[in-house]
Amino acid sequence: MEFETGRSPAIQMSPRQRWSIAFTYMLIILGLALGLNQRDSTLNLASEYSNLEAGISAKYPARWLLEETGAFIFRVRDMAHRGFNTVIEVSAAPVGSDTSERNILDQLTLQRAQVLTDYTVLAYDEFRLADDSPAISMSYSFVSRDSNPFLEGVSSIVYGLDILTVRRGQALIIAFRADADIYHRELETLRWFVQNLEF
Amino acid sequence: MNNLRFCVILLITLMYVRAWTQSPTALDIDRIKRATVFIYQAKNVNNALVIKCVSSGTLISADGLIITNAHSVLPSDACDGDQLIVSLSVDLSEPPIPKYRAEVFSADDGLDIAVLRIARELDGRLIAKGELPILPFADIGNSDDVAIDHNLIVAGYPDLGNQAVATARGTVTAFIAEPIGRGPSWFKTRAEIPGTMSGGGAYNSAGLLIGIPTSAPLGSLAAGESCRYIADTNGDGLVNASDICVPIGDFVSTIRPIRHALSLIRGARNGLTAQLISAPAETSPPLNPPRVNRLFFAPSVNDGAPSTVVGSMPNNTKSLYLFFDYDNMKPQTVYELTVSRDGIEDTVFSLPPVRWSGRENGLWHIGSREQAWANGAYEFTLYIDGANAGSQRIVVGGSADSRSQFSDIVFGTLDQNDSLVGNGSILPLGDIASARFLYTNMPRGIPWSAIWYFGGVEVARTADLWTDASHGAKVIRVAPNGGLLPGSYRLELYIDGALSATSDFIVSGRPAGPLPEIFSRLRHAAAASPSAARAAAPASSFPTSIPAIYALFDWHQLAAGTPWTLRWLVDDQVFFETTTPWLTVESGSDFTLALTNPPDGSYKLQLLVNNLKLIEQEATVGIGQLPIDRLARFEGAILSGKVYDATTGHGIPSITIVLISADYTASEFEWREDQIVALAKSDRNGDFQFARPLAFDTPYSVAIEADGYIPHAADEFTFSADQPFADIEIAMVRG
Amino acid sequence: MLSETQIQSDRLREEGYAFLPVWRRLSLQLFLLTAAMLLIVLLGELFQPSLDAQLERIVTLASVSLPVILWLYLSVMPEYRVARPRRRLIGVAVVSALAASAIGLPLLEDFYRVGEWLPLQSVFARILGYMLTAGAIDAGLKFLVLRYMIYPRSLRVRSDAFAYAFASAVGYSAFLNIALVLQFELTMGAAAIYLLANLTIQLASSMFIALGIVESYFSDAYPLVLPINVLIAAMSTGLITALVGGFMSGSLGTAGNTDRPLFAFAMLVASLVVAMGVVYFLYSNAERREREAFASQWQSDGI
Repeated sequence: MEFETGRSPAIQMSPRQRWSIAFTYMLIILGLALGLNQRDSTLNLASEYSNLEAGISAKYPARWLLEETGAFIFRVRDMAHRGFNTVIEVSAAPVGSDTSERNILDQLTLQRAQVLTDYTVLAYDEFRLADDSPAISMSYSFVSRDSNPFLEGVSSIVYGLDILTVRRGQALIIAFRADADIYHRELETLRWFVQNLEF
Repeated sequence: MNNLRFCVILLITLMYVRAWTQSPTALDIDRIKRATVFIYQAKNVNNALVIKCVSSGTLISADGLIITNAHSVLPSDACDGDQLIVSLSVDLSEPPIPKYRAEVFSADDGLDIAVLRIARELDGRLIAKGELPILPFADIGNSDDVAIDHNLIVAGYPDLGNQAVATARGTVTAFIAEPIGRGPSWFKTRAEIPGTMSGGGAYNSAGLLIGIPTSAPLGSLAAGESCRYIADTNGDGLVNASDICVPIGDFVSTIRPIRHALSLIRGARNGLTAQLISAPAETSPPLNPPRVNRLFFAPSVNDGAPSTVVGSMPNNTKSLYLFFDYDNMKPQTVYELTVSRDGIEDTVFSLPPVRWSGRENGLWHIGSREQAWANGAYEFTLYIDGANAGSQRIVVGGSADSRSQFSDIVFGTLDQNDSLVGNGSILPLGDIASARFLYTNMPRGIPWSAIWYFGGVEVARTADLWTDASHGAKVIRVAPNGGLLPGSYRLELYIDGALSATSDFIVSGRPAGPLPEIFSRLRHAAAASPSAARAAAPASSFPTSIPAIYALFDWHQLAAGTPWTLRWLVDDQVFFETTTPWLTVESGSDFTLALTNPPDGSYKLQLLVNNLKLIEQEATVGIGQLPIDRLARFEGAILSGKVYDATTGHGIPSITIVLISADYTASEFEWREDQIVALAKSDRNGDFQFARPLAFDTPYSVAIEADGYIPHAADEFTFSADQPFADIEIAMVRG
Repeated sequence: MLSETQIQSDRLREEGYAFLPVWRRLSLQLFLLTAAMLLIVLLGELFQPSLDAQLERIVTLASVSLPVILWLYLSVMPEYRVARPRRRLIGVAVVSALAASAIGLPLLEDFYRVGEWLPLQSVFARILGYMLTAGAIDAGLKFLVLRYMIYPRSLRVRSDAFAYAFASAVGYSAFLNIALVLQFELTMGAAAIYLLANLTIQLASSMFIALGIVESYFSDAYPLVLPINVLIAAMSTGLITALVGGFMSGSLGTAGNTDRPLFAFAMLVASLVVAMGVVYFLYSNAERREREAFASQWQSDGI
């Protein structure tokens, strides 16, 4: 036999009850805010890179793969992303007295058209660096495919953005590439990267 | 006792079964197959690629070097394509899939060997340096270790690209020798090898590449079994005899030993290309049809010359060579030798149609040694481009006769003591050339004669009755009017009107000790251009990353048409060797050679005539040693597998698997490039494969991180040598 | 399975009550549900490679509906046979499901994007992260549903809060399960685990919320008791969500790895038992204290 105590429905709540409900609301809001904070702090967790020889220091997202061997000063890739791994690549190119920024970008275009599938320049634009100095940007797209011939690699449409600035007689090129699906979201990462880049 | 016997038999059986099951051969077959490619030579006709020729090939390096036959990839009358499409076996049970375009890095038309390099994606895009994934490749073996009756595995594609890669097993049944360098020029086998497997790979039982199955389809055979119509090439809506057919050749029974390709392979692996800058432009091919004459037999060969001339051979003959003079031959010429014994074809000693690997003209031989020739009446018939070019008969059997015989001719000059000095086949310019030969069973009074030729024209003749002893050595001499001119000479010795011995020699250069001085002032120089190199100071060491080093030399009295050999070695291994007729003036200076983009190494240049090294010079680049190629051998475990979603059971595409160096544990991994051994990315089915083999017994670590899934990190990822292939499944759980 | 006689006797007992008892029915449902899920997991483990995809889909869809069917049959329908039924059970379940659909899931997946950053963190960071995101969202939404649908008007006895909290858990988890099944082609075993996991997470969370409501409303407890219970609810969500994946994921070795649904199942059952045990202990303790207080008041009044 089960015994249960009961009481009539109370229409009016006691101050304690009101306070407890209010505290609960506050707790939930606090929890959600802390959750947001944890998300942001995790996503913005950074590693540091510095190259004294090239005179470059930068912050890049933690857990991105840092590479320094290749035709670049360094590059970082988001290896956890499925699909095309978002990449930020910093490289330098010599500049002659007659070389314009556009010349360098056109040279990049010619080189890339040889090796990237369906490489298309979309637009040229101005870009402001962290110190408000002007730079030129070039957006482009191409198709990327995993190159292992023994596997059924999946092609991805990739959007890219090159930011080029000329300083101290050399051109610094920040190349950013991301899967078209997440490109606009990942642009935030690029902006954050550029804000923290010192050269 | 019976129990003991039973136990012994059981033990032996178990050991045999264990040895069989542990044999790496069964496993290596897959690797051999993966390294085997199918090659289309195609031509762009009205924006459509028309297949001209097909062949198999073998990947021999992780960065896409392929070795195959030259006849099906170099442009020729029969194969006039300009594109090379490389198909790989993605699934070993399925036909190959076109994946890349390749270009010829180096080739030897006559040896019928070409080394290709994968250079472009199938759509024509250039593959940037380092962007080509590490491909499976075959390890090169030592073809000198191959012996008669050794087992062979031949890999290739048995049809026009519509069948999976196949292997055929057989044994080496014979060696064929020709004057193309040390060791046999061909292995013979009875393995069933279809014509399209020509260019593939022949492997020993350890799975090492020891040869290239080779046969040359006859250009004149434009149809029939040896040529297939597979596409409407003339656009008439029909595939019939009016279209262009793809030659596939007959069954292959000859294998070119890999030794003959080693210099090409070494050169390609190190990206070394040598240029003979001072050599005149290519001469026009001979207009007259190729021909052979003066067919005769010899029991052995001395420095390319017959030891003696025979008309019959005794019982237990184990060595026999057919010699003949040839003229107007081209590398594209297809020649064939059929040997019949008592009217029945003897496939062991016959040579099916193959490319001509000699020069335009000269003395050639083909034969074998250390193989038993059964008694019988043999007929050797030569075919040139499918047409009968000459034949000769010889009887093997009976006891060794006591016929009169001349043999072993060597050439030189006589010193003050009337002793013959010299190297045997090259004489400096002078007045008199002497020859010494051996004679046996020579009765007094028997007529004999000696005829001297210069450039194919008789210059002197002596005919006499034999007055010397029956056995011994004799020296004869020739003193042409005006002295010895630079060029090729020949001596023929006859006994009673029958040719008994013959040999050739070269007159060239200035007298200078035992060897004539044909080449001098061999030196290296660094300069911006060949002309600047001629004025540059000689040097013997050069800095790393030098764009080119030049080699220069002077030459003296080297007649046009005289064959000379240029051999270039890096770290004492030949990477470039060519023998060509001398095509420029007789004497001169600053003949220039160039070696572009040489990696660090110790380079040695040798110049030879008649296989005699006359001069050599060494130079070092950088540290004087080739960089160590960690991928030079394909040793280690192949790690492949599938990454799947534990929730759905489906493969997860585009997930990255990181193989961490043995120097770090997974917990120490900080996403730095130097900590990573290799990366693999899963395909649309979740399948992945590390292109780089994992070193055995090395404790790697693995890390997998993917958005939405709980990561994996594992240490002690170690594979032992008895586990060369690992195919694993990895379940990823959504977080 | 329940025998006919047993159901009949239960029914007769219920007809004598003013309020339908909650705990025994809740236990029975959980027992039946876990037994069914265990059976599916075992079947999945044994026959996974050879199972027909369509059959698997049918089993998966049946698994989604099983908690709802059991709840309707064992908790909702009997309410109409007692004198004072809980009339808002279905309403609470439906509104909870709608809250999950309209706010909970979009907030978690599209705003917090937990799939992109949380799974890659350490276990402790995952527990904390899921507590502050999924836990806070789920607990907050269910608290809001209970607050505005039953609190305080529909609370007559303590068990009312638990009955409605259960309804809220069933509704909320039902939507999550439907979304899961529609989004992925789950294997049978994985479906059973994830469905059980969703129900366990929501049930544990709801029960702690209900405990807080009960203590706040019936015992007029200190104002922090309710928020602490909601905090514990969020923590339970974080803990179970973070751990179930870890238990499910087998460790990687040279032979690869496999998922471990039985480990995950055992962990879920343990979580369920612990959460329900704690809540029931606190509930019965409160009931006992109130009975004792009522009895002493009765005696002091001389009745």
